[in-house]
Amino acid sequence: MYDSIFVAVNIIQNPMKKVLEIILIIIIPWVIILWIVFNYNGDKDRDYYPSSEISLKHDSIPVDHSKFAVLQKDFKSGPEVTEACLSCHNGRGKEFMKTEHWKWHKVDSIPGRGTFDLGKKNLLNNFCIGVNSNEKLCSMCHAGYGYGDKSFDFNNQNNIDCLICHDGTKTYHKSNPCKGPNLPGSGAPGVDVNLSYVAQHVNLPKRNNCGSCHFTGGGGNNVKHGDLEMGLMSAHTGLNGEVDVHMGVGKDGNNMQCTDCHKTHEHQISGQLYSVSSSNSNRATCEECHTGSPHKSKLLNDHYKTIACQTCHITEYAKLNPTKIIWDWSTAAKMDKNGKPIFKKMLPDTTYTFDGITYHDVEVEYDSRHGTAVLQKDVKPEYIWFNGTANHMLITDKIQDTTKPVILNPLLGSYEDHYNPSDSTCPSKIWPVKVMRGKQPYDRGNMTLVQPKLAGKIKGSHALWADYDWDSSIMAGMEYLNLPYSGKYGFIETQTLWPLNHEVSESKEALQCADCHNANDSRLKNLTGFYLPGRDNSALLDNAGLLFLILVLLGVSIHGFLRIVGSKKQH
Amino acid sequence: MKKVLIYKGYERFWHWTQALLILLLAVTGFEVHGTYTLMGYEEAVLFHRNLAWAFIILIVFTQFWNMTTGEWRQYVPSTEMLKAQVKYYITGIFNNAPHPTRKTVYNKFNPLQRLTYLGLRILIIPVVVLSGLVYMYYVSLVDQSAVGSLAPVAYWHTIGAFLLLGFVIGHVYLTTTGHKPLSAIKAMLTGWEEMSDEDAEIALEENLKVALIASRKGISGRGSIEKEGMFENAFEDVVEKLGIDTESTRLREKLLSSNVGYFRIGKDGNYQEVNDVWLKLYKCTNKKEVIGSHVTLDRTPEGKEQIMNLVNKILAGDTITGERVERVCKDGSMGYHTVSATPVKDKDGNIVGLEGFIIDITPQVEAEKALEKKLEANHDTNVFYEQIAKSENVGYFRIGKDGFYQEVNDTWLKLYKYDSRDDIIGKHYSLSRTKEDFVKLKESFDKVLAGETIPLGITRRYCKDGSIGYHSITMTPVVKDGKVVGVEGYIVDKTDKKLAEEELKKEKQV
Repeated sequence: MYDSIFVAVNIIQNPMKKVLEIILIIIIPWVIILWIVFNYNGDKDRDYYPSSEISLKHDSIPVDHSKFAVLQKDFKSGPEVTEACLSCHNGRGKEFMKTEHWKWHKVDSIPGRGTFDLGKKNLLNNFCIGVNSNEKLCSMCHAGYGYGDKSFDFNNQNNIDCLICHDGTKTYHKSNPCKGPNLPGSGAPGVDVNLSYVAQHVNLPKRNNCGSCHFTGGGGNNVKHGDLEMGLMSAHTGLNGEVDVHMGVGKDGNNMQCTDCHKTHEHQISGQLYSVSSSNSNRATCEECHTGSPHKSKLLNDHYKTIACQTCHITEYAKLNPTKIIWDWSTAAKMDKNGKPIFKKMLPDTTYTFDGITYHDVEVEYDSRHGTAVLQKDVKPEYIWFNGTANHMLITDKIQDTTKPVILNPLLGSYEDHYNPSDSTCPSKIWPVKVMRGKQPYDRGNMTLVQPKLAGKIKGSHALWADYDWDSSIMAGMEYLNLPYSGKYGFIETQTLWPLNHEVSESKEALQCADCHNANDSRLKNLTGFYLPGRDNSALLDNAGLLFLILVLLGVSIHGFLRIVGSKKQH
Repeated sequence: MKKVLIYKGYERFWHWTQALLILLLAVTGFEVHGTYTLMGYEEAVLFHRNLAWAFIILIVFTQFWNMTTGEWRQYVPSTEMLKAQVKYYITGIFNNAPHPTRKTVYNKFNPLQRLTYLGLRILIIPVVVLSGLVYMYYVSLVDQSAVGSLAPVAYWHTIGAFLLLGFVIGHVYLTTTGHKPLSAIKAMLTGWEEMSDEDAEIALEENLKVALIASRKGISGRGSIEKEGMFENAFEDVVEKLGIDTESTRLREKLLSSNVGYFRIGKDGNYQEVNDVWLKLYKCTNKKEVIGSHVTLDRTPEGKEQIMNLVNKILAGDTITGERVERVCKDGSMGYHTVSATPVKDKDGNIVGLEGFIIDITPQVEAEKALEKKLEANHDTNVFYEQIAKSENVGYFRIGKDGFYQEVNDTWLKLYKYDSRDDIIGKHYSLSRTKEDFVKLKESFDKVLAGETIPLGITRRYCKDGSIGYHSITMTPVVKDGKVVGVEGYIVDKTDKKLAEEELKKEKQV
């Protein structure tokens, strides 16, 4: 202390010493701190834990079915094969008949509404609207034989279609009752299928088995889901992880099968599809393999609390084939100028405007039977808060507001959920969804959705695709369900929400921070009601802050100016 | 202009590191905020976090340093002089008024700064740091249900950032209000602040005083200097301790080798010890000539009386600080210094002498004279007198050829302690003067009427109440139609500053 005082009196200083002191006290600490700040970054490592830490166990069928005597037979029909299967696999029929693949419904609870018997069987969507009265067509994808109408015997285990899931030959397929001769009946094997050959070469389900239905839902490849398409099972595409990091079939692909994730026990396959489910149960999740903290970066793992894995890792869907994003039934049943129906006509348009939003780079199709369809490739998902539960617009539910699109399966969840969870086991996260938009018929008198009868080839059967008459089609469909129809129909905008789970991108393709944390073009720009750093700010606060800084600057400028004037005066 | 050590090494390190961190935090922070894109969002976030940790570590270190060194006292708010400081920034600064407060190593901040920095330390920085930590650990805190929505956290953080930025702008601007525009920044870089000689003298003296206290207490007494009696007691304590063995005390050694003049005088009034600086100030060459000589040697009679009064006061047990005295050097020239001195006691507590130090202020006095000359150089413009007439510090007068007052300004009235102009306008300038003064003044007056301009230097006045004052006076002729019709001039009060000098001069003439 004395030193500083008495050095103070000593006015002569060494300028070299002064410079050295500044370097020592100011410059060197700056350099050190800057070096540390801009180089230390434990959080920059985006690697996943090595996939070797995740092991897969594939079961195999240890027996050669072609040697079994019971299968050495010229099978004439599906049920015959099933009978042979069940003669050894006893009990499996009863087991299978409890599953949704058979029943097309299940007992499920809707939060706040109670328990319902819900499923494909009785819920409506905005693709082909509903199963009822159209079973002949829809049962192309039923794991059974002969589901043509409500008289189908769900208790006859010989009606189970074992081969659609267990075909190991890739030759088995079902017949389309709307095409060709109507011989085989609903859900029957195609006429060209060698049932004996297939029965002797059964296997555990592979991608092609599941995909035969799930890749082509909605009437064509990738039409319905958008993230499930034939490309995922085509070896010749040679894709490694470009479309789906798990199911790549190329040299470096992981070539995982559906059942690797959709774990199955007693024919109960895990996984929920929220167009037909409503409770947070029996889901197939990323965490089962990847855990809840898959990144080395804590910052990224922190995001797991509010962001589903899928949000960052499914950046786009319909990567190989376009998916249907809009289906406008209101234009259906229109004829060309000759009074003939128009079949599947590609329109020249590449843009399409629906509900005020213009979609670019789309394919637009018109068909008198279906109306207008819009398909798009490489679609960016939309995002919602989702806690694993969903509501459903039942056919008996009243439409409250016809000016807004009716969401047929509102996915539940909100931002508040993650600090005040309504379900502590599953707080809401941001999920990517495919939003399917459309217009479909409704009953303007009863204010309910309606089930039209669509499928059919015989004129006078009331089927829309035969008679091109909405009124009679709806009347027939509603009568089939024993539900009232006022006789006045209209078209209403509807949406269905399809949480995306497939077509997971490679990690290097995953979304980057600024894809969401961005004030101008955030992926989450439509997901409001919460504060997202980098995207949000309070305009009031920012303007007040800016004003404050301007006032300070102005204040010191005026003060400085007056000082200069003052000192000039003195001189 | 002198330089005084104000900032210690750690403070300079802390200040510039904090400045760098705050600026980079602002740059990265407003990118995270979405205001602009510079280095990319991810980099901005990661750097912002690292910077934040560096900032927090620096705060912890600095608080520790403040606590252990007692520097925290610098932040204790004081309302004393606060008004004066505010008034200075609002008005005084535009008229080149002197700073109302002075900067020393123990009192770096003026009361406004104290208040502002305290506000920063207990309000703005905690808001920014705490909201930042909540922001950083938001996910974990949400798990504990400790926080709700992120928005308020972000808003508080943003508010703090804006306030901090506003502070930085004001702070950088106010650095230009030192002795010279860059003085304060240079001081923060080198530790040495440029000051006017007068400020430097005071700063040095304050530094010295507090060092004395600290040397006795073993603690830092920063800030406590303002307490009444504190310094005197502490000084006595120091001296008491020093009195045991003055030869070996560090203070004495330091004083002996410093630019402060040191002296020790025995009970008999004879010099026992002086240092080289003392000798230099008195322009003596041989220490032996001084040692053993009496304190009154080589002083004017009045100076003798004054110095004996002081010596007797100290020998009676008092301590004097900062007394302003004149000296007559060996070559007969005049010098000015401040003196601080205190009794020397033996082991039994008996006073055996006194010792103290002197700090030269001659340059300051010379500067004052220079200022005077400068004022005089401006005498011949009318504008100058118009300004003078309005001045609060300078008295203006105009006297007709006949010797009667025609005009005086308010300051003149104040200096002569008149209540109104009517008391003086129309009166003769011989009023309230001794015959001696009048004769002298008349000589000058006649010279001015003959066309000369006379800077008269220090003149004595008798005020209305009979008290005596001193001022410098300058007179110039008033010319009308080519004829001298009167005299006008200005007076600058020098009562406090020049009293001793004037007395001394008079004694010399006698």
